[in-house]
Amino acid sequence: MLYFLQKKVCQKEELKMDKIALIVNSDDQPNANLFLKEFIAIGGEIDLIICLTPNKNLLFSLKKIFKPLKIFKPNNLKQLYLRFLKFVFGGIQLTEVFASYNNVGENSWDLLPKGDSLKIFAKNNKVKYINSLSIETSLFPEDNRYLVATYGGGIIGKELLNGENLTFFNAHMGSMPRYRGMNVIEWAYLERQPLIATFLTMNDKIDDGDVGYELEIKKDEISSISLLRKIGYEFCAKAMAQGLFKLRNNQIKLVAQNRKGIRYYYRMHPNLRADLEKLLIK
Amino acid sequence: MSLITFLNNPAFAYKYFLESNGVVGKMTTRVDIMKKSVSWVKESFYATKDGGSSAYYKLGSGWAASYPETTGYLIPTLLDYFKFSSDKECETLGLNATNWLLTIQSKEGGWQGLQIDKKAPLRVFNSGMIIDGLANSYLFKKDEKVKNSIDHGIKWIIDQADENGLFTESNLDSGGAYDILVIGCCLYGNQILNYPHYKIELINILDAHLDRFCSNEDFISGCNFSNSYPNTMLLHHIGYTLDGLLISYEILKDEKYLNTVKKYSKKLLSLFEVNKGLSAYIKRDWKKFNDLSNSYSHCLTGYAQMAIVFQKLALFINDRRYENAAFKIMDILTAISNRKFGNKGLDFGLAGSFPVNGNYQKFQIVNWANKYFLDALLLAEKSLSKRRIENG
Repeated sequence: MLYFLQKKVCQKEELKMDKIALIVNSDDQPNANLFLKEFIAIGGEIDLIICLTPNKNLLFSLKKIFKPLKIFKPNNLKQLYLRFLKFVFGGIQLTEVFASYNNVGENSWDLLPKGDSLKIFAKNNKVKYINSLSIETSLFPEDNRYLVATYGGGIIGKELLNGENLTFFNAHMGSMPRYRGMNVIEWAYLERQPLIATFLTMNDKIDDGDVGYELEIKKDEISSISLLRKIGYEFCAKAMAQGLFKLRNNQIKLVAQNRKGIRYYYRMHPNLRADLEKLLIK
Repeated sequence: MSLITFLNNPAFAYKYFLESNGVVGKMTTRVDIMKKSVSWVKESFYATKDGGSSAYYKLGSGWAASYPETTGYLIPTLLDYFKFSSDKECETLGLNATNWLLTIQSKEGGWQGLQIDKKAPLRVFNSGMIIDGLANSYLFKKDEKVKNSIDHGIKWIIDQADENGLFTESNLDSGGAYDILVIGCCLYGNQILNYPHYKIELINILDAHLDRFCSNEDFISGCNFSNSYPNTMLLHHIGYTLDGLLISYEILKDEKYLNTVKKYSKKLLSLFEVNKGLSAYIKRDWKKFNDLSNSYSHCLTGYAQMAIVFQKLALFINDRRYENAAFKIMDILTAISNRKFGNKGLDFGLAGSFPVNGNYQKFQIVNWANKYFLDALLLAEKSLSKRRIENG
């Protein structure tokens, strides 16, 4: 079910945004590829792709040669020492307890097929493609305003996020403000709430941006957590594509989140995941 | 601690070495770690031979004498574990502990502070914890002597309240937020006696404590030892306070107690999940406090208590985010305690702090950390089996 939000209109809505950019972590990022296919299918056009990987130039090749020397960095030497301790005395590091909650499906590579090369897509469609290790204002031509579909894990500075000519967006697997944080699609299913993919702006707080568009995720035939997350990624790509398209064509407005009812969720413990798996099988 | 002290106890030196490098034991199941944790608790009883449990095993001095206060609240733990596992030894230890506590009750009704080999005045907090143990013992065996002792004890505790309803007399540091647990335990004990006048007086005392210590939006006052870091809250005392409020809520069904727990638990949940841990001492603005040179130690008793508070809260308000965090806390405690050192005072025992040189109960394996850890694990097992039954 699609539905528009008709609440308080935000300032960002007034911007006349005429360009669309896409930021990715890697050239073949699966969820970004899904988004791009959806966006093109509904008639959208991409103007700029920024890939957060280094340019494969001479400096890159040189760095690669010296990569093994990284082992002598103090942090790496410490890790080596700790591995030795664990090998000799057994046990784990306390930090590994939390690391054990990282589940399959925490990122799209685990569940979605590898995407096509965005560089080749850009070349074939005459789209500007930039390799950069960080997200900076200089990457965006000055005389344009950009709506940025963000799939990159790089840090976006406060200045950029609050910049007049740039609005960064992401898609989230939960309705706002109830499901902020992590593993929210799992939490929503466990709490027997509707599953929603949300298209929203990014600001300097976690999942706090203005909401542009929501898409209900169909629950039918989801029988495992992996499948649940896979479908979550697919609907997030749809929400991002449709949201951006509609926003660019002034069909939707950005609405500030209700301050009441904010909830943050955190990584789900295996015991609760086991309960969820049982619920999904039922 | 001098090098000689460590050389005299190489097992302790081994523990200190591993923990200061962040290395702990292996993960295991709840049932397995319960068995191991109980084995440490049993050793704490065998070390004293008087029916009480040794307060702690300390680097340099070994096992301490029996501690009436913590022996008291170990009784429900032992009896619950007996019900869970049919371990007869735990039943015997629980009932022997009851008899020992009856023999050392003062004629006034209260119990002494500190360990039994130390001369100490009667103390409200310690007596309250013993009431909890005796109440559970009575419910288990229905011994009238125990019921009379509970009556005598609660009366003495109520009589200690000053004109403002606070326990400023016969108490450590003239009382604190943690005394809320004393009132919770007395309300629990009074469920056996069913005296309306006790109930009215206890509610008045509870509300006086709530006003005095928990009225501030941002922090809990009187939540640390007076000789500890100023303007910080000790996680162990936060645990006592919140658990006391939850016990009171369970009995009185007054939402204000539950709402107070919710207010502080929301902050603790976020702090724990974001930082992947809680510092032993928390500043009044809910930021971590470094008690080690450039890092913080973990208060393991406080952790176990929060695992209990979070599990109860999850149930009361139907919010499984708290249960989720409780499981993570229990995992941390499991990993820390699951190691054999070849020393009965150390094997599978939980210390006051992690690493063991943290400020709270430095270089001590304390019986109260193990008690609360076992309680948390037993509560988790109970909830899971209840859910299994509900889900068919």
